[in-house]
Amino acid sequence: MDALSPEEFDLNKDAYLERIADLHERRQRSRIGGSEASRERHIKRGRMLPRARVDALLDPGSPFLELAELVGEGFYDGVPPGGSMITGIGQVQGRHCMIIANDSTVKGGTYFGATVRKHTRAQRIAWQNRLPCITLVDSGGAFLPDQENIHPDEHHFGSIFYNQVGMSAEGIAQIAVVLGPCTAGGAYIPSLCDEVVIVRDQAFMYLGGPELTKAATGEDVDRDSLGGAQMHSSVSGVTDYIAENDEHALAITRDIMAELGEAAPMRWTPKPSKPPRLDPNEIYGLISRDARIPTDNREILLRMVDGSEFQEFKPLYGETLICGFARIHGFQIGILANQGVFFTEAALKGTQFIDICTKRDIPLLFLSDVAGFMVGREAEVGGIAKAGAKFVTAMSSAAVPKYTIVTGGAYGAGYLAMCSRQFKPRALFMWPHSRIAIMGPEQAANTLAMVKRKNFEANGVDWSTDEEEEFKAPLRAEYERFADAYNFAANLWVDGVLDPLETRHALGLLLDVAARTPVEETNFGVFRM
Amino acid sequence: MFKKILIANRGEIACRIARTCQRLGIAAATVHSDADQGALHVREVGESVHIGPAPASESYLNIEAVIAAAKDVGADAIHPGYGFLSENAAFAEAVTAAGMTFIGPSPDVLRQFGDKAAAKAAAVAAGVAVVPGSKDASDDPDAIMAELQAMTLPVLLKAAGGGGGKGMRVVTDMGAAAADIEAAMREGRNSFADGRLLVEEFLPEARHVEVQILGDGQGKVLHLLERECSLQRRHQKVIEEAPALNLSPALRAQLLDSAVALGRSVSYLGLGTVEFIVKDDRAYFLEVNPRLQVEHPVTEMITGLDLIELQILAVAGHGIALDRDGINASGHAIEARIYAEEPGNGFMPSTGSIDQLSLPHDALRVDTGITAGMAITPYYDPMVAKLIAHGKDRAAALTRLVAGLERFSISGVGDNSAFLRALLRSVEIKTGAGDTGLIDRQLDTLVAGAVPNGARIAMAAAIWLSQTRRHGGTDIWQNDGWQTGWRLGDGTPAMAKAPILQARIGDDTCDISFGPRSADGAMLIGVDDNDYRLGVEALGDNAFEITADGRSRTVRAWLGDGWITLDDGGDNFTAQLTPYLDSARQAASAAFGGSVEAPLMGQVLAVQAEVGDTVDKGEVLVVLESMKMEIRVTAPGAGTVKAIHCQVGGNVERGAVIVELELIE
Repeated sequence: MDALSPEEFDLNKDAYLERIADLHERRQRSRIGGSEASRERHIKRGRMLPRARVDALLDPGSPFLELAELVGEGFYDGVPPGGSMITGIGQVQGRHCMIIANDSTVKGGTYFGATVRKHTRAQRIAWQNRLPCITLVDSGGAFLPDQENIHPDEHHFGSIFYNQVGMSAEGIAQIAVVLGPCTAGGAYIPSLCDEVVIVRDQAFMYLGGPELTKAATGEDVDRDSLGGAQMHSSVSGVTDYIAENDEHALAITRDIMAELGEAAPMRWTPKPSKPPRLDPNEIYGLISRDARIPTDNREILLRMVDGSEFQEFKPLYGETLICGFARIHGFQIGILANQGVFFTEAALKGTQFIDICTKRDIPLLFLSDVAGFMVGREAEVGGIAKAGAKFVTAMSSAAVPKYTIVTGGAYGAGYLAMCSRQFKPRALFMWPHSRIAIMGPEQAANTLAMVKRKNFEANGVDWSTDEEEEFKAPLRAEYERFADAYNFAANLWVDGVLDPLETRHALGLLLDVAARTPVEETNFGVFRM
Repeated sequence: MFKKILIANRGEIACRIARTCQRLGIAAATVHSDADQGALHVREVGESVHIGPAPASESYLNIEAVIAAAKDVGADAIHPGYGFLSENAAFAEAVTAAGMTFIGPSPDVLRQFGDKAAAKAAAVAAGVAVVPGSKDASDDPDAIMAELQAMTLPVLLKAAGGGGGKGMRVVTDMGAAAADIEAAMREGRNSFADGRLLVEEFLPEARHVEVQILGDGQGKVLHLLERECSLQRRHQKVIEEAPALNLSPALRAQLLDSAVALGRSVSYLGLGTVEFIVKDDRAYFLEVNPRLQVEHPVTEMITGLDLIELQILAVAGHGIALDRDGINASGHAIEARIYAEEPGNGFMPSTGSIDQLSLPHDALRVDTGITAGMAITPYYDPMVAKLIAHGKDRAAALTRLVAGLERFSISGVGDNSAFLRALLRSVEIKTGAGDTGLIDRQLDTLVAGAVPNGARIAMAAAIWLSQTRRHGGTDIWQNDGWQTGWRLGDGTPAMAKAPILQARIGDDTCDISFGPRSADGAMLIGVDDNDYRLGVEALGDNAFEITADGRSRTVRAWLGDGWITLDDGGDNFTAQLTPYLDSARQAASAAFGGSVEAPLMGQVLAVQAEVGDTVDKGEVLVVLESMKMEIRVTAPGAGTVKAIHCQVGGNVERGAVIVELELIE
C-alpha cells in the first residue's frame, strides 16, 4: 500500500484522538458507579466503594485488566455503563484471579440482563484461563422486569451456578466475600463457593428474608437469626470466616488466596519484553479516518509487537491475509491480519499457518478488518467456498489460545472467519472506530434498495432517485448504529473497547495468564479438499 | 601495671575501654548477659564471661558473678565503666577483697559522693557553693512534704542515690506534690535501692557545666578542663561539648578551682566529674560523678589525651604524668548521643533488631556498641552511638557534627537523629549553648522538625513499590514497569480508590495509595490526601534517583520486611509499612477483643486494676518498667476488666495481652 502523506496522517490522528477522548469519557462514566447520594450513603455505613474493594484486594501495584466495563450502556434508566458490576483480572497474593464485584451503589447491585451476562462472561474467561474467582457479593438480586434476560436461558443466572460448580470441579478456586444482603438465588452464589467470608452486622444470607418467611410460614424472625454472619459462621456452616468490616473481610480473602496450593507451571518461556521499534503512537495517524479508505494493517501490527519484529509467512502468496510470527511482551504469537478481502490463496495460506501454530503450541491473534470473501465467477470457480471452509475449519478447531481484535470493519463471513465470538477466542476486543455487521451500511442500503426497486419495476411503479435516497438514509444510519463498537460493547458481544495503544499491554497480560493453562490437543474437522 | 582488666560493662564503653587496654598492652576480657550473647562488646573485646540472665540486676549488677568472672579470666583489675556497678562502694570493696584492683576511687569516696546529701556536705566542707535546700536526705514523705512547703516552687526532688537524671522530679504544683514525691521515691528505690530524697531550689533556665578531674589518690588532683552539658531533655544529657561557652574568666576559674579543691579534700583517685549548675554569674555544686563519664570524648578531643589511659595509670599507682600546664585545649568538640527512641512518641524507647546501620566513621569519632543484625533490647540503655565532632572553633565542630548526623541512618528501630539534627540546626544552638530547659521548651518544634514531609514519604513509598515488584525478567504481571498499577486508561490520573499501605513514622500514620505509571515511567503516589508524581531509578548500592517535576535527586534507601529507611540528603527516617488491610484487621480484632497489649517488653511495676473493675478510657491499668522508663498502659476504651494476665514483678513480652476488657459500646 502507498504510504500516507503527512497531511493525511495528521488528519487521521486528530480524528482518532477525538475517539480516544470519547472512550475516556465513557469509561469515566462507568467508573463513577452509582449516584453521589448512593455512594455517600454507602460510605456512611462504613463500607468501601466497590472499586476501593477491588483496589484494596489486589496486590500493591498489580495491574487490573477490566472487562466489559461499558456493558449495558444506555440500556437501563439511571444505570451507568458497567451493569452494576465490576469484573476483571488482577493479582492477589501473586496469583492471577478473576474478580467479580457487585456495585450496590447502582440500584442496590441489582442483576439486570447485562449484569448476568457480564457475570457469566467473566466466569467463562476465568474457566478458559483457569483463574480462581473472587466474588464480592453485594446485590439486591434480580431486576424482575428484565426476567427474560435473566432467568430462562443459557448464560442467564443459572449459568452462574453451573460455571461455579464446573470450575470448582476442575480445581479452580471459588471464593466469595459476602459484603451485603443476598437473598434467594443470590444466596447460592456464595453457598456454591469453596470458601466464604461474611461481614458481621452488614451481610445476610437467606433463601427467603424475614418478610417472605413471615408470609410463607408465619414465623417471626429477625435478620440476624435468620441469616446473620454469626449464625452462618457458627451454626449453619453456610459461611466459613467472619469479618468485622469490609477491610477485614478483604484481609481474610487475601489470606485465603495465599493458601491456594501450587501455582500452575508455564507452558511457554517468554523472552524479555521489548517495546516496538516503530512508535506505537503512530497507530492513531495510520488508521484511516474514512471507513471507505483501507488502513495498512501491516504498519499497524508492526507497532504492536516486540521490537516491531515480524517474521512473515508466505509474504508473496495470498497477500490479502498477512500471516507471521512475532512476540508480544515476550510471548510468541501467530498473527493473522487482513489486508483486503479473502481470496482462495489467502484462505489456504491462513489454513496452513494455523496448522503450523497449533503444532507448535503458539497462540493465535486475529486482527480483524475484512469486508468478506471474494465473490464472482473467478472466485467461485477457483473454489473459494472450499478454501474458506478449510480456513474456518482450521480456525475453529485450533485449540491454542486465540485472541481477536477488531481493528477496522469486520463484515459478514469475514468477521466470522477472523475468529468471531462464536469461535470462542479467549478475548475479543474492538477498537473505538471499528465496526461489525453483516455488511457495510452502504452495501446494506444498496442491497435493500435494489430489492425494492425490482419490486417497483415489476409493478411498473416509478421510484425516483430522491425517493430511493430517502429510503436508504435511515437504513444506513441504522446499520452504522448497529455496527458501532460501543453497541457491541453494550451488548457484551465483545469483551470491551480498547485504545489501540493499550491493546499490546492487555494482550501481554492475557498471554501471561494463558501461559499457565495446560496445552490442549487440536483435532481438526475434515478439510474439504 | 595491670596484666589483665575485666571490663564489667557492655556496649560502647566496654569497646572503648578495651581499645585503650589494647594500646597499653593490657589484656582485656568482658562480661555479658543472656541478652548480650553475640553483642558487639563481646566480639570486640574478644573474651567474655556469661554472668547471668538479661535483667541487669541479675547480671551486670550482680557483684558475685562479676567478681567470679574476673577471677575466672585471671584479671588483676576491674574497670566498671559508667553506670551499673561503677559507683557501687560494696562492689569496690568486694573487688579489693578478692585481691584485685577497682579502677575508680576508694569505696569511702564512692559512698560519700554516691549519697547526694553526703556529697553536698563534702562540698560545703571544701568551700564549694551549693544549691539552697535540704541538708539531709529523707525517706519520710511527710518530712519531705514539710521541707517542700517551706520553699518556693518550683522545687527539685532528687533521689539521694540517683544520677544520670534518674529519680529527679520538678514540683511545680503543690497539688501534685504528693504524687511526685511518691514517684521519685519509687524510682529511687527501683533504680538505686534507695528511696531517700533531697529537696533543692529548682533553678530553671540554668546551665550545666562540669569539670573533669583526675587524681592520683595521694593528694595530687588536676582538672582536665570543663564541659558544657546544658542541652538536656528531662535532665538527660543530649548534647555535650568542651569547652563551656561564655563563661567569664572569673567564673570559669572558680569552677575549676572548686572542683580541684573538692577532689583534693578527699585525695581523689582516678577520673571524676564535678558537676555545677550555672545561673547567670552564680555557680553551685551539683554532684560528683566518681567515674568515667559518657561524655568523656569531648575532653579527649580538645586535649588530645586518652582519659582512660590516665585513669588506669593513676589507679595502677603510676601517678599522673601531667601537670596543669601540660593540658592544652585546642578547638572545640561536640558530642551527640543517638538513642533508639521515638521522639514523636514521647521519646519512648524503641526496641528491635537493627536491620541496617550507617555510621559516619570516616568523618567523625564514633563510639558505638552495636552493629547491624544486633538488637536493642529493653533491658539496658538504648544508646546506639555517640558521634563526636572536633573543629577549630564551635561553629566548625557544629557544622561537622550536623554533616555527620546527616550521614547516619538506622533501620529496624526508631531513633532520635532527626530530632538531633533539628536541634543542632536551630538558631538558639548556633548562637549559644542554651540552658537545661531549652529542649523541653522547644520540644514540639524540634520533634515536628524531625517528621518527614509528604513528599519524602512519597519517595519512600515509590521506592518501596518499585523494589517490591520485580526487575527485568519476563514476569509481566509483577514487573516494575508499565504494568505497575496499570488500568485501562480513562484520561485521568487514576489513583487507586483505596489506600494500599499504611506508613507509620514514629507516632504518625499516613495512608499510601498508588496510581498507574504514566508514559514517562513516573509513578503516582498518594500520601493521605496529597498526590505526588515520581520517577524512581535504582542506581545500585542502595542509591535511587528520584525524578519529580523535572528535577532529579539521589537518595539512599534500605528496605526490609515491613520497613523502609530513606535518607534524602542527610534527613532520614524509617517508615514501618503494613498492608492497609492488615491495620484494618488489627483494628477489628482490637475493637472486638478489648485486649490490651504490652507496648514494650518489660517488668510489671504495678497493676492498678482488678478483675471486675469498671474503667474509663485512658485509665491506667498497668505500669511497666522498660528501658528504665515507667510506661503506663491505659484502657483503650471504657469497659469492665475481664482478665489480667500479668503480675507485679513479672516480665511481659512486647505485644503480650496483659489485660482483657469487656468494652462498653
